[in-house]
Amino acid sequence: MKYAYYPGCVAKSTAPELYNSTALIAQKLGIELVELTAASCCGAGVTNEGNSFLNTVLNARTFAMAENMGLNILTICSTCQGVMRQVQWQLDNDPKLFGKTNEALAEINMKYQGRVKIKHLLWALIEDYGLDKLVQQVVKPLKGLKIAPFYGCYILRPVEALQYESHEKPTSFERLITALGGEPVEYDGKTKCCGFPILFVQRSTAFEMASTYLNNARQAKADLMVTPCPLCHISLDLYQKKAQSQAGFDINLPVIHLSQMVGYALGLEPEKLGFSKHMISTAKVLREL
Amino acid sequence: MTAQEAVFRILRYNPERDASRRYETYRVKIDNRMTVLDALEDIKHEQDASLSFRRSCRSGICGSCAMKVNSLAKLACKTRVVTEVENHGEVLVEPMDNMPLIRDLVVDMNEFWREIDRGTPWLEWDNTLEGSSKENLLTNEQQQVSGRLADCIMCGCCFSDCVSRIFDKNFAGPASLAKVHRLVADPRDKVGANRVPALVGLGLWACTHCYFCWSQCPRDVRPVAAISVLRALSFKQGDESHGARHVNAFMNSIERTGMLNEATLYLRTMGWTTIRDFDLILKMAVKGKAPLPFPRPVPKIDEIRSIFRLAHEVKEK
Amino acid sequence: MIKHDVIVVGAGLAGLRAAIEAREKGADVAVLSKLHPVRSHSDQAQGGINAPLGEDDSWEKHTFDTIKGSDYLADQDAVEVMCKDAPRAIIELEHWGALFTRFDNGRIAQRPFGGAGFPRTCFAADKTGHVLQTTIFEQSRKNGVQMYEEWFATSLVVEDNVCKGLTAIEIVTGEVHAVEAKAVILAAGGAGQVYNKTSNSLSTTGDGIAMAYNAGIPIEDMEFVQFHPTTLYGSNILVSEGARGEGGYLVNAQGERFMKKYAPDKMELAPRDIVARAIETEITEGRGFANEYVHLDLRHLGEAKINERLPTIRELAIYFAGVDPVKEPIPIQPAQHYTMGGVPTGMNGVTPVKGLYAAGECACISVHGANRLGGNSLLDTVVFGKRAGAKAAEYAKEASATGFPEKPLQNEQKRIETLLNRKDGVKASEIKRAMGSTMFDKVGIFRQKRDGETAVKNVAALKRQIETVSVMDSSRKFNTSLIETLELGFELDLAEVIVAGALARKESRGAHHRTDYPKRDDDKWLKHTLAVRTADGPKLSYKPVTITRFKPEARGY
Repeated sequence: MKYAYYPGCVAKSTAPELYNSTALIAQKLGIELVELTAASCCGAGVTNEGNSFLNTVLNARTFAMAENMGLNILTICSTCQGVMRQVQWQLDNDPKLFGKTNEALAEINMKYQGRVKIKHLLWALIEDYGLDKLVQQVVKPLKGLKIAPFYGCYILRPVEALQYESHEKPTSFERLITALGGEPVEYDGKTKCCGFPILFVQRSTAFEMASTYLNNARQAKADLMVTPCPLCHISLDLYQKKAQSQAGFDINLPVIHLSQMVGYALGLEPEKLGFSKHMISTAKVLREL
Repeated sequence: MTAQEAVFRILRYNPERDASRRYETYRVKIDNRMTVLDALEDIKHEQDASLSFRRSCRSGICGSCAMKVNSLAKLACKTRVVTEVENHGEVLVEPMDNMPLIRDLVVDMNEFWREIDRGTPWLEWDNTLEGSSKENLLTNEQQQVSGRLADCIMCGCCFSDCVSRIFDKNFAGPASLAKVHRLVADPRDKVGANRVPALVGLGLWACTHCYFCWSQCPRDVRPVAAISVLRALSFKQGDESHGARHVNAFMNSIERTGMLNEATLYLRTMGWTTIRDFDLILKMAVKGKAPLPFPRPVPKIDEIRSIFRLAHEVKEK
Repeated sequence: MIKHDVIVVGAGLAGLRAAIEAREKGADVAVLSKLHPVRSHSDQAQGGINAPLGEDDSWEKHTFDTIKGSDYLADQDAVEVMCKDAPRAIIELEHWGALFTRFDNGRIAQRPFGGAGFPRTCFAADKTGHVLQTTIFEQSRKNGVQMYEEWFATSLVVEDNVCKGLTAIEIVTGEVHAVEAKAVILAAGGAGQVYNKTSNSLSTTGDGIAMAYNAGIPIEDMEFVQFHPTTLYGSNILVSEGARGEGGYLVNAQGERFMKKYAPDKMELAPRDIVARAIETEITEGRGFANEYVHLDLRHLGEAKINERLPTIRELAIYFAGVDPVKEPIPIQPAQHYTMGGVPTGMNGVTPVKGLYAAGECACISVHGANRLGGNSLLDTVVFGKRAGAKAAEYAKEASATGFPEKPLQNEQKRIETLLNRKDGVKASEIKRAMGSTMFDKVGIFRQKRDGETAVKNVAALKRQIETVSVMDSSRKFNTSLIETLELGFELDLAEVIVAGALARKESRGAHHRTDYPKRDDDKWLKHTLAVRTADGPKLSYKPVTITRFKPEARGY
């Protein structure tokens, strides 16, 4: 398994634990990641609201880069995944846009051919690596730990663009958690929004979103929450204390990245996986394991 | 077509009888074609006449029968029972969210209609044309954007499942903003793009991109996409709100370095209010997570800057 | 007490157009509707709205096509008015923002429709009703038209042949109100739900026509019920005539385009009554599929055209019939679709009762006579809705309020209370089911004496049964069982009138076809039926047809 690796911006700045743990599990599982260091930010859905053509071309350039390498793209951020798939879906279904975009790319001697596949780590583990194979690599099963998967938005919707699983009844996270020995928890909000897109714009609303869904998971007896998106992670972990302070109740639910969860089960050291980098301490959970 | 039975768990509430909401279970014989509406009619006529719900056309165009089926807002007449049973085992039927409950599956949609009205949702047509015997000349292409948005049947599904609306009652919601876009995109509307400045007050930047409105809309209107376009228009018009500043900061960061630098993004969007998060920034710094506001550009940054130039030129056209 | 100059019952195209006009003329007008306006049945129209816009077309040609289509029962002066006003009406809608499909030159596109000698049907893909209803609703909001949404009108209050207003249930609270008005415009639509196989919505229950009938007003031409040839087998959801207008074929189980036998010139685009009878004949003579349906084949139109012109039909066929018209033919069968009859009016919506007006499908002017051409109903609503609105406003300006009698409200409140409190009784749904099948089987596309007499007996029995119906829900607030039961009352009244008219009319004309009297008989039957309510059932009388330009001729296509 070899991918053109698109870590996204947050993994390289405020979530270094995501970047590092991904590198570690890739190594462990024999997945070769060739980083697209010259790629631009995907725009996170925000650039699209400044100039939508700009958004399209910037991402098409990333696609072209991977196509030049003859590799598919692996993402570790739902937002990157969602944005890029939306752009790709538009390009693939709008010949005029496709033409215009390639005209622009031609100015920098690049071309988008429409061949590259873009996959999130969650899907790659299930589809490409295989859960059965992954189970065999599990050294430290998550021992019935109650884990609340927070899918969030961008990895599920719009379904036409992402074309991976039903947003109504997604199962990939639950299957992964179970394969790693954990117990997935059902709660209202697992496919809802963490509030990150409006965190800088309407802070109190974002806090309310985060605290509501975190609390729902907590009330459903979750020990831990896991997310496939570092932007969700910012809202759910980085700002959890502020969110709960606004809400007026305690939550204290540790939130970790997908790669950290997988890494732990594969037997990698929690410290190396960056478990201590979180705002909400994972110490208690680690002790229980 | 096999005859099977399905279990319907339906929220019931009669303000004249019930102190609070409750759930009742009904079993219904179903076949492969039956819709949730068919089943509700069956239950009402054969088992429980007191079950109240709205319905009319039973063909997905009037919008009356919007309700939550297995926790997502849908039109009952366009929701197949076997699909729901396959995915969820049972069929949970509840009234829409974000609107007060009147009885059983009937919600008070006045809140929804008020939000629609906030967008002055009618074409301001050129009344010098009154009495003229000729139509405005328009091509199908010119009507394409409006056409999709005008497919809206005002069912309320998007409003029900809008996450931002749950927490922000000032946010006019997806249907209202989609309607504004329908009018902005219509060359015959005299107000046109001048409708946009008022939208900040309607919560233009409060949409959190959860995409529920896109996935739940039975007519494929895609309100969230309309909101993005309206935001782009607002941005172009010189919108000074936080949301627009955020867009500006984002684009700036990418143009200069190719990546998003949280530090500069944060400072540019939040300005002096950054001070609120000083404690957080400190903690992040200790853990090695605080980005410095002096980012290095990615390799081949020139390519990225070329694209910016090109895209701005295209936009000007 | 709620009081307005003008009250419009029904918020579809006719009702809202009337309200906009009345308001423009300075009246204090309010619209009363049992549904939110955007849910009205007008919203479901698909195919289009007629107007002689083309250079090679003319109002005379449109008038002729309409009159011939009506099998010469239409009142020709009214048809002339409608066709002359059609271009103005369409252009007005376009100015207001209607998103009509266009020709390449930017003009409003037009397509051929049944019984038309020229392609004069303007359309918005196949969602014309939705587009027009949205447009008119928007403009009614712009003009500040007041609405009473989810108010169910239960009776008209008429005293000394003067309309005083009506009684209505505010559905949310269940309260029965008196609504006083100097002028009332009935625009509550047709009565499709009298039949079990109908394209009409579940709410199309003939309320306006029945209220007029119950108030002693004779209702006109009720036996003329249009059966639309193409509705989806199973659900009877409408498949627009536009599909045939765009070139679709009707094919039987032997692979024949059978319309060749029935209308060799117009083929699939013959008027609806002819096509419906053709399909029904094919099926009953064993050339249908499963003895239930024939095929509407659109495959040769190609995916691009279907997506551009008939996207709604494609979606409906896929979802409700499990068939993608791009790949497979659609299973279709005829079903009830339109009520040509209704409250008799002149050309300005004026009825025999002072202060009472009617417009749209619930009115009978008559512009559609014995059979309506596709695309003429939407036209009818906006042309005559406007005229009724203007006339009602004018009347209201002159008229003085004469007070609202107490008794009607008390009677209604008592009647409804009795209904609500009756614990045991017959189920309304059972009565409805029996009525629907009797009507479709016995007073449907092909009629004859014995069936008609059976229907008379069956309907009479059902009318007795409904006297002991139980709503089975005694709540006041949002009691939909109550509403359905009251609607059933209206439907049964109209069923009785339809049967009587059909049995009495010993000829075949337009949509009324009798196998025992298969020919049109102008000598004896070139006249409109009027039915007035008596204690012994409907009493029939007749009135002449207004003929101006076109002498009745043989009607072949």
